[in-house]
Amino acid sequence: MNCQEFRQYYLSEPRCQDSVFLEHKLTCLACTEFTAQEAAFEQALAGAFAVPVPENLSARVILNQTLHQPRWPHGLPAAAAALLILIPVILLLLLRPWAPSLEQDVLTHITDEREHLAARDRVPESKIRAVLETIGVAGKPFLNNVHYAGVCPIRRQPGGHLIVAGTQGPVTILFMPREAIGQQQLIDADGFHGIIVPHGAGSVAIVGQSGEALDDLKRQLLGGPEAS
Amino acid sequence: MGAMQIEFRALVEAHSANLYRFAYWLCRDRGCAEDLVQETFLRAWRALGDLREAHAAKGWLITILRREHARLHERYTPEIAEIDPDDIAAEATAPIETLLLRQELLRLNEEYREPLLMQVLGGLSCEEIATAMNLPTSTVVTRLFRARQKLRAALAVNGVAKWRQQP
Repeated sequence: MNCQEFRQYYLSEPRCQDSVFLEHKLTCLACTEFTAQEAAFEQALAGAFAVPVPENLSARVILNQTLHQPRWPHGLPAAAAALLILIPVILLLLLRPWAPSLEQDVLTHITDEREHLAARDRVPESKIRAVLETIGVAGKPFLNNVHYAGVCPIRRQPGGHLIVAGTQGPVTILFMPREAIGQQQLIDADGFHGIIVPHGAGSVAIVGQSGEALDDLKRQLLGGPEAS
Repeated sequence: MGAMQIEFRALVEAHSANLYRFAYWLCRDRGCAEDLVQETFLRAWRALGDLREAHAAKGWLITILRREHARLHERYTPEIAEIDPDDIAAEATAPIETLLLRQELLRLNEEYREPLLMQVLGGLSCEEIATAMNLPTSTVVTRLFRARQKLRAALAVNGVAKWRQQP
């Protein structure tokens, strides 16, 4: 895990217990200042959530409980009910795929961040450059009419999220410098039409609305910056 | 006192305060929050046999509480739309950053605030939050990332610039 990955991870799950994450946290001198600053923010956040608790709350909860007895003994009826609930759950777990595909994760991310699709302001070149540099994509910004540019966690890895104007509406471009794919993949679902193409050591998704012509954008992107 | 009673008391002592805070931010009303905590622990007591591992207790209780909160909304829509800012700003000793953060937490969309609550107050992992909210883990990760980003941006607008922005 490099510093950039660690920091991205930290901003979503600061108390992550993953051994690789913890090792980086403990050993990386370059991340010491970042960690201290973020720990202070987390402490402030915890303080903000910690509204005062009514006095003797625990005592009142226990008193309330003593006035109520379990409706059912933990015996046969409970076991039968649990079995009835468990059978469909187990079947569902067995039948569903264990991990979503990259196409699904791309669509999920676009949907989760749908507010950016409505962005209309023009993003300055310096901002686009900063986003691409943050995720390790070096090179000159190459796109016009960028309405949004931000760094996002995509599959828990730093990714670049850009919105550009297309012919049918907004087009999302997701740089995923650590998601390697063998060949181009198609996306055609939920009213979206797109492709995921290999890009440097990772990939880039270009997703517009149904009917959007993506070839020009693809050409520009593949001739543009690559993950360093 | 039976073993179950001892176990239940330990649960209440360990989790009632944070569960109350969680309920408070969900329903934004002190009375409603305490009712939710009472109902949650009653249900927990009745189903205590289902709790197999002590470390899962927090997530289990939060799941029960969220369900109770949803049930409450099914029965009627509480009149309180937002927390009275005076209610949570009343602590004279709270640092100004805390008060500003609370203001911004109130403004934060619920889809961002709730996973953040579950993580910060509940100590749940992204996977546990995803399970509790029935969402893909990637969605939870994104929402948590954005929630912090939005709070930082709002604080910066309010002149608290010590927590720098990410691009």
